[in-house]
Amino acid sequence: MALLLFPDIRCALVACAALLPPGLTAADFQKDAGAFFEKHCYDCHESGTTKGGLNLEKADTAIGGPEQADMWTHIFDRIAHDEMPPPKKPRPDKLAAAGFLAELKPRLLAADRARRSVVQRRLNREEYENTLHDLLGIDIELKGLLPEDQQAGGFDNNGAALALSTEQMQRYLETARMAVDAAIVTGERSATETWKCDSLGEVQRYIDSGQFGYVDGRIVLYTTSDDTYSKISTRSKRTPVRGRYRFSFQAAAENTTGLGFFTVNASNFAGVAATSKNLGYYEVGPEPKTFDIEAVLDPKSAIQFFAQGLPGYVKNTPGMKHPGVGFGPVEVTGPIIDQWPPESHARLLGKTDLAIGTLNDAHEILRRFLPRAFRRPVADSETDRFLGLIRSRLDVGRSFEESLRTGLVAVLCSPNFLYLREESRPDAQRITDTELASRLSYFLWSSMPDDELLGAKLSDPKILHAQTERLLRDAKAERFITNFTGQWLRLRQIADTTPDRKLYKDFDELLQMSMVREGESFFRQLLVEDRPITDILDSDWAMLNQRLAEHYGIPGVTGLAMRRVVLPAGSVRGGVLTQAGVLKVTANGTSTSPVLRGVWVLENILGHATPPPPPGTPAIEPDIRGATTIREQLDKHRSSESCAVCHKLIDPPGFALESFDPTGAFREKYLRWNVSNAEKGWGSVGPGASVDATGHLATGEPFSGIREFKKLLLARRDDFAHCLAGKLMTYGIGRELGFSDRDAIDAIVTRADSTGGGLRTLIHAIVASDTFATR
Amino acid sequence: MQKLTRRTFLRGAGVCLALPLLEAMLPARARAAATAAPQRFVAINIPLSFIPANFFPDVPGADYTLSSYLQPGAALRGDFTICSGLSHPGVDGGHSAEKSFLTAAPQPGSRSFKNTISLDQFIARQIGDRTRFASLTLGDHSLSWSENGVSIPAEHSPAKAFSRLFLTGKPGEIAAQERDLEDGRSIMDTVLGDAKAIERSVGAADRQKLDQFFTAVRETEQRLTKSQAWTHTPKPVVDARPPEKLDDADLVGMFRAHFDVIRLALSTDSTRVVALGGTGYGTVPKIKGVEQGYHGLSHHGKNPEMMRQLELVERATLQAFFDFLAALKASAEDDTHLLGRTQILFGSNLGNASAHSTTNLPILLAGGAHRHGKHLAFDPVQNHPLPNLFVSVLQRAGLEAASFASSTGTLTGLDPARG
Repeated sequence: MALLLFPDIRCALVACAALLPPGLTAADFQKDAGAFFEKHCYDCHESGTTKGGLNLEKADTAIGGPEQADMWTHIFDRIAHDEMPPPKKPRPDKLAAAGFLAELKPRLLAADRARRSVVQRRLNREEYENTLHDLLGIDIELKGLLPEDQQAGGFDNNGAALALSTEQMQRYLETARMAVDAAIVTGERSATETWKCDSLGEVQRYIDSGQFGYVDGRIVLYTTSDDTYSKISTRSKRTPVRGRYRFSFQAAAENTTGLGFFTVNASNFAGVAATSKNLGYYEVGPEPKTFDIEAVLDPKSAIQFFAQGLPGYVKNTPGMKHPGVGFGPVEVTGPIIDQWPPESHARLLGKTDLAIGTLNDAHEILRRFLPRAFRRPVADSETDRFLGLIRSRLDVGRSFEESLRTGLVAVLCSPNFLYLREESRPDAQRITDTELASRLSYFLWSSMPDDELLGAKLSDPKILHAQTERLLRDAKAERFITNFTGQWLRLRQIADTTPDRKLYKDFDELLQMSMVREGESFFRQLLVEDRPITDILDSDWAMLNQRLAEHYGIPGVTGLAMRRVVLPAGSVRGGVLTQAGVLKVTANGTSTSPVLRGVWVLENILGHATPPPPPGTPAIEPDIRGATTIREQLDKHRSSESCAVCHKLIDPPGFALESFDPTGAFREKYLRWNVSNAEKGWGSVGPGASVDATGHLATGEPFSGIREFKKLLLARRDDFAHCLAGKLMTYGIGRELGFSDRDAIDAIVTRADSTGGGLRTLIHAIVASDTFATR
Repeated sequence: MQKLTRRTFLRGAGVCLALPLLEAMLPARARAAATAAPQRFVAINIPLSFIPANFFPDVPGADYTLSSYLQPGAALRGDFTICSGLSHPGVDGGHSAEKSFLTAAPQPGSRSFKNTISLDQFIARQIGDRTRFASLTLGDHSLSWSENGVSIPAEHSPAKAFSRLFLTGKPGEIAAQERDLEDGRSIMDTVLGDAKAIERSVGAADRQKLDQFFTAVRETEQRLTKSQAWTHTPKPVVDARPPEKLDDADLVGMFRAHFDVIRLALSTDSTRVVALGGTGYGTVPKIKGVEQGYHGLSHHGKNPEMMRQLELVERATLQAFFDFLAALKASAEDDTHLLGRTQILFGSNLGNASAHSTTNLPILLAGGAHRHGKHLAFDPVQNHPLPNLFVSVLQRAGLEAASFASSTGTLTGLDPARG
């Protein structure tokens, strides 16, 4: 994408631009473009033969509107990247191509710039929930009640894409009511109780049958089930009210010298709609250990225990010595109340007593609440509007409490709350410090700015730097790591497929969870230590826990905690491409496709968008019965020249990654299904054809496998830096980038490189750029 | 004047309605609309499709032989049309095509995809004011999209849908609900004022966003007004138990529970438009003989063992669907039955899940006043546009529509029922 890749063309372009006669008119450009197309392009790209779906007769040299800007950007890139005209056709000489591009560039810049402005951006559901949590000091789940958000440019915080519908408005009305209700308490303070739950009665018969064990008062599980229901729980006495509870119990690993793993889930057992919330993953050795777990639970809820990392089935013999995890009786304490009324209540209402409140109290409450809800100073006329609503409710006979709630809900349904509003000022493109505070906090916290940030003079670069540092050090920056890696590395899709258990026997929940943690902690490590972004392409270290280290065949890692591990020499791991999570989400559970993985690498590492296959392209149907590998099928695909244009770019990264199966494990052979009885559908899994992970890039450089491929990627470091900076900026300001942003992104990368090229440095360079503070 | 025959047809469905639904109890607009026979629409998407060879019949026309998957529908042969060679023009993108199943918006997999209104919502916009619920969106994925491309969240739980449809709160709760609706309207009023105040300071790019906001607020107000009008009409009482607690993996049980709720919703005229999105998740369905995740099975790579298990899942799905059709047919209404007045679009956004292809979709249209009993076979290479079927559905429902999305006309060969 960056022109840096093509130094020769770039130099020619600069040279030509300097030679360009000033005042070249639109008519001149129309004539020159027509002549260039006539000579080099129309043979394949006019209304008769629109190869690659491109009809140049539709290209308007005035470049009016987004479609035209996209089309001309595509034309610019194919020529600048020397992809068009294709190698077998007569080539324009370098100076002619550069001359054409130099004429096109200023026009394309102007056209693209005109369509790129940050539009009023609605909070997405993630941001909406975080904002209400931070604003009100509550912790109820809200995002599940809102419609799924639309994406653009690979992220779901894109202002242009985030539409608002009637359905959504109705939901906002409901969720705002729930949020306000959760913040305000009216009833009496619940008494804190302590009680004991023992599942022994319920499971005695399973212990007798040998399915469960019983050691020193602990019920022992020998299997891992993927059910959401466990017989070992605190169901015998569930939580009386919603609140924070502490669960205290003993656990120990049995019949092993190593660690046993388990998860704790909370459920409200509400029939079909029963919730099942994972409270965490835990580990324990043979020595019994006491655990104290605190969590906010709904009424009538209980926690349940699940052993992890054990077989799905073991033979049921009394007195068996299978490894297992034992759980003792649970002591439950709660609801634990630190302060009454709770902080959320006091924060919102101050000292106002709901039973005797007056309109004056409501005025005070609004005056405190509105500037925080709207993330800016608020005019009296705005406060009066909501006060007027409260008054009208009092007038029709509602209680003070009801009227106040209605007023607060209205604040949360206002466009001033629901949108990141940036006022249009015809005289200035730069946004104000207050508006910048919101941009910054929604970038790094996915939530509202706090008082300090709102009051900071962010136009001062030193202060901006210091505030960015403060935000990154805050625990809320975890939301940035989760949301960014969740979308860029697609970790949100980790559970979309379940690998075939017969083919991939090692796959389990523990591994899936670890995959997500690997991606996140790798990114976190880069961010915290300001490691060079090239580590994302290849690194001699990885963030691993025991489960992943076993998966990767790396010895010496015990426990679930992710830690930095120096990789053995010659390891295929290192960087993000060979992380199991990335390899899983780019496969489909049963088989891998070099095309899907190749497209992912091009788009997310090299910043090269690939068009979808033209209509009518036959899909490749995987067939694991026979001798044909996916690669052989693809070779057929690539023999046609019009397919090869894209596939010579797409396929090589995918080929290099063929050494990894859908669970991200390294493989030298594919698995093959051997039929033993075709009629009954019986058969077995065995080794099949050898994996061929060799290839060569479109530019000719050969690679023998993933290690050499990563070396070639490192040589394209500039493309990657441009791509990553672009992704971060897209996520940071919530709009798609285009042709007119390229120079700015180049400047950001140059600036970050001159100060070390680390990820944290890059984020500072983005935040400090004009683009970040411009509408 | 329409006869009050609800009691009779509900008995036919094995359900007894304890409430005589008097017209006087209906809000005025609904009363006016009740004079015409209700036209209903149900859409069902099975996102992982069906093994094509088992689904499609061999020969076109009325004399086709039922494919092995269609066998359970033998008794209903005259009540449905099977279509092959249909797809949405320009809709690719593998699984993401489920977003376009009822909208036909092209390239759902592209990074800047923008959806458009779905067929169910298009219908609901025109006839939704006649019933308590304009439409229902159920299942694991939402098929329903608003005019500006916002997904309408699907209700996953049949039990929750049942309670929304049929469970009435205590008198105190109803009074509180009424107050909420009224307060909700005044909230919308205030918010509208707030939005108008900022109208001056927005640029051209933000203008569209603000217009969207105005529309959403005004329509929300209208919906609250409609809900207020219905608060005094008790919900219909049905002699059916709320759906049982079900495991997510109980794929077929979940389908049947959704189908029961849909049948009750239609027979009580609580809504006339329903969209149900089936599951595409990786859980292992609780069906005897099935040991692997559903999604994984769909990527069978022609592995015979996986295909055998997948067949079990697909047959069970179709059996549940045909049982649903049979139950609708057994529910008499006036001189016909529910099926006769309900057009049911059943199919998948994928043609062949193992290849992720979005052409040659399995499509079945049942019920409504169509001349059924045929296999309409279109060109498997140059597919016929599926939106043409949507236009036929709209016209048969008595709605004025000459086109829908990328349609080029109505569906060739699909004729109105005689008489």
